[in-house]
Amino acid sequence: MKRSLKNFGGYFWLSLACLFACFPVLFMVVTSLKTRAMLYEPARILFEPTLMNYEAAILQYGVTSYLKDSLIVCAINVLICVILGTITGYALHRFTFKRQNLIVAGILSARVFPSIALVIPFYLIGIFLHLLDTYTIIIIVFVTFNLPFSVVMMRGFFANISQDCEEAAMMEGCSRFGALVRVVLPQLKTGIFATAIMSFLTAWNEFTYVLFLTSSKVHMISTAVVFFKTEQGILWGEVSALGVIGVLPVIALCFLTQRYLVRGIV
Amino acid sequence: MSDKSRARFWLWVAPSSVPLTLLGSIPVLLLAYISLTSFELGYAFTDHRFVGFSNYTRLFSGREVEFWPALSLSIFVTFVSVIAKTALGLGVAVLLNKKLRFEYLATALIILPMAVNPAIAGLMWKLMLSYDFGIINAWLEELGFDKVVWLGQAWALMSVVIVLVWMHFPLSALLILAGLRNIAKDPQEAALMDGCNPRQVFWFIVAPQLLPVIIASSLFQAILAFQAFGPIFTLTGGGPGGATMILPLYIYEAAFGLGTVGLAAAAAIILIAITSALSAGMLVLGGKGQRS
Amino acid sequence: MSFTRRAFMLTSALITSALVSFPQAAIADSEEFSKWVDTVKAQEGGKTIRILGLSHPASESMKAMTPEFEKATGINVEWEIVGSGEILSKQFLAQTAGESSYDVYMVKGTALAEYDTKNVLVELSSRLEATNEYLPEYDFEDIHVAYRSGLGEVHGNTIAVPIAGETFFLSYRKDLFEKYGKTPPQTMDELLEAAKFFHEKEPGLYGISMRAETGRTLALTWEVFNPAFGGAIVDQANWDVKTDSPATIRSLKYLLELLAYAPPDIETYSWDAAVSAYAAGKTAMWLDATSLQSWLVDSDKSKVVGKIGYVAPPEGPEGRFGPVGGWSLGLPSTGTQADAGWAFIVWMTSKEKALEAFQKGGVPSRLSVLQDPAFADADPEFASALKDSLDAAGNLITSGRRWIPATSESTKLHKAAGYWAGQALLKKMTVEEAMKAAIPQLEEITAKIKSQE
Repeated sequence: MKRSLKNFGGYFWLSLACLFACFPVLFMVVTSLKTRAMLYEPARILFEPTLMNYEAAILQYGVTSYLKDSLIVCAINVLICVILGTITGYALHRFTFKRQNLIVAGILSARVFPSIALVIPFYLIGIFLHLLDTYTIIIIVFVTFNLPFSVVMMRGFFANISQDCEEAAMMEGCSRFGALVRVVLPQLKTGIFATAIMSFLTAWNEFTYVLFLTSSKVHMISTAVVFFKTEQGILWGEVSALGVIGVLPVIALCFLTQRYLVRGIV
Repeated sequence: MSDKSRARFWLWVAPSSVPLTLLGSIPVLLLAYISLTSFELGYAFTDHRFVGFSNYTRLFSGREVEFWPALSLSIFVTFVSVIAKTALGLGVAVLLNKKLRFEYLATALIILPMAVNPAIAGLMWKLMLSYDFGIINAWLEELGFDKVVWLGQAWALMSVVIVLVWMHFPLSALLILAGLRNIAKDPQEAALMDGCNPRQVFWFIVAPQLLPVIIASSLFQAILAFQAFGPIFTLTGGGPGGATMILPLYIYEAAFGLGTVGLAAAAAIILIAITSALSAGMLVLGGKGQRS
Repeated sequence: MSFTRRAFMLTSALITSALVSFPQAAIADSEEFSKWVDTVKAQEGGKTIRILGLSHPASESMKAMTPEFEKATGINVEWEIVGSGEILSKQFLAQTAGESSYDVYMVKGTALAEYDTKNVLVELSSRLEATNEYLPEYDFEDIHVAYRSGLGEVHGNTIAVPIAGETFFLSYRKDLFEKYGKTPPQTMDELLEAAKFFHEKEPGLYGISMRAETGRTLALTWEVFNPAFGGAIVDQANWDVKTDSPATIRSLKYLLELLAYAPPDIETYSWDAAVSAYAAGKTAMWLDATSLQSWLVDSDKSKVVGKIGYVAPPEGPEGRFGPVGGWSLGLPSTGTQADAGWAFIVWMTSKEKALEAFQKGGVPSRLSVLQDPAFADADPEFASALKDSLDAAGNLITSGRRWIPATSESTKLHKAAGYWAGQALLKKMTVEEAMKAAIPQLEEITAKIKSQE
């Protein structure tokens, strides 16, 4: 009895924080189910939901076809980040020497560049290499600013793994790389999932680069929002529907990997 | 380290560090070059004049009236939002650490702000904070208060801070939580047995060890806040009347609104310099933390 | 003649005359038009063109008509829609790169000077001449001169064809005006007086709503009033800065006085806040774009449906003038299929298809549509106010001036002027001080313009 009272404060404040976090998302879902006239009554909770916004987004604007391109690009991005991140993170962790931090700095520096600053140089480079509006250039850009973080994350996860198993495997004749794959990786599942989710998330929602570096052949869902900012105002219902459609894959992914994710973070 | 090990090391690290260094540096070098020219959008790329540092002097001297306000707005927003994000993140992390019953659900909900497309999130907040159609004002009215012009001259900047805090605080919470979980339990339990109360345990034993994590996460949040573009672009677009024209928005206006790419590139280089300084700070502290 | 024979002749005469006098059904194209379409099909059929368009009712209308176009000409059409914030950047970026994957651009009419200086669009006069020869029915002159010139011509070149033009007019609350026995204002003095009269006449009521956000928006609103007073930010003939001329100062003072009778946070109002305020019933009048009229009669968005009237912008000491804005269609100079693209433009902007375009949600630009009973009968006061406003806008164009000066530096000019006008609006400086302070910045910009000429 005393215990639950003592924790009541904790429950209360945590609930408040959760409410703050999820409220706008709930609002987005609710708005996506309202007609335009109901926008005048924002606080109304009981109403007849309508799917017309989703219909418009999917049928009229063809939004779901963009999911395909987004999924392809982000999946490849995740693959590259995880593989290279693991290899590099491992190397940085196991081979320690003086100048190491400099290399990490070099790698990490690519992370801090704001997209708005580098759109034009990347566009010009894309023109020069004839890579505009292709999967290649978007993947290149995504990997450039996701890989650094993946490397650093993986390096951190390696720190939690003892070297003994590795040494044992190598003494039995495995190469270092073999040891990595066979012995270390299975212990790293949580770390890999965490890294995968982080790089997926940042790629999935990227707007600026996608807007200027792609147009028709590659169409990603993060830029679909521009259709709904019309000269006659913003189509709130459709925007919300788009937001919900865009967040569903993320939620699905997190749900599928949640055990690994939470353990990886904590 | 022996030569053989060193060679091996480079073999492992090369596949990622070489492309990254190239991909990271070439666009930046190109950007730096553009910042020394008077390049404007719409003209052929070869059609530009080299003007040396005059773009920078124009920005710093106040000739471009909106640069200094943009920079100071960015600094203000970063400063305030980082404090709020860290405080909120710390609180949430402590609560999550208590292993209350609905820990998994809470964690999932807390992560939600990071999952939504930032541009759309900005639009949703814009609707929620709308004077006539906003749900926040509707509730204020129900509770008997006056409606607030959230996106007007007086409050727009605060609204921007609120949205940024909402969007980024989960990251602080997760990083600090990871830090908390890494702190050894034994000293804490020993202290409790010796008669200290939990609050003293927290402030004298846990907090000092948590400090590196808090500082590292604060710096990371500062980098995020300084660069934030998408949500603010859709929330206020820099308005009203330039009240929320933070540096990334200034760069956007200069490059795509006015087409003065050379000037925008100079401002962008300044932005990069600031975020690089912050990230260098993070690395230094991170290095220290690792060794301890 | 026997009775039956006369009856028969009478009836057949009636039927014949009825058939002749009924307007031709819009379903079947005229013979001339069909012939032209067939030639296009023979030459360009099978090609695919790409259009870069804006998120706008006019594009919706064109998209709705695209299947008809594709069927008739055999040309496939791919649409790409972006927002107004992105479309110019995309077009200019493509120009910088020297290549474009589009064959038709939707172009911003008020930025034509910039398009021209940067050679983004193909010059169209020779094509128009050719079209007028083999398709005289196209009747380019039927497009209202305000649009034809204002959204199509710059520096003596014709580089675009208008598709969605707009001007400004005044809308007023008929119910309030009738209640207090007022007539809609025709002159600047009457406008000011009406705003003053209605301001706070009833609880929660303000005089007028306009877009006045400090910065470029404020400058653009100010420029709507400038010509009527003989003022100007820059002289559009010799590019001298004119902010300190008495007429200019007078027009800014007038605007600021007028804005005193607007909602309290007027200095934050962009176009959507301005129209929302009026549509919510908060102000007695509204001076803004004609294209937003649909917002006011949409019962989803507006609480003043059925209560409003329209009138052309008021007359000042120097005459009645109005702005021209909107969107046109052009051919990118870096495109590769100019002929097919041109066929698309001609088809979509033709007299033949104009009424259909309007019915599918587009904006009327042709006199033939504006004067068509189908258009006028829906809302006669709107139709006549629109025509009067367009004529006022035409006055400005024919006097050799534009609402947005025909130079690639116009955005910078207005941004600077709007900043300083904003300082006066926010009462941080007097009008005279602000206008004087604006001169150095403006002169730097005009120096560049002069060197370009």
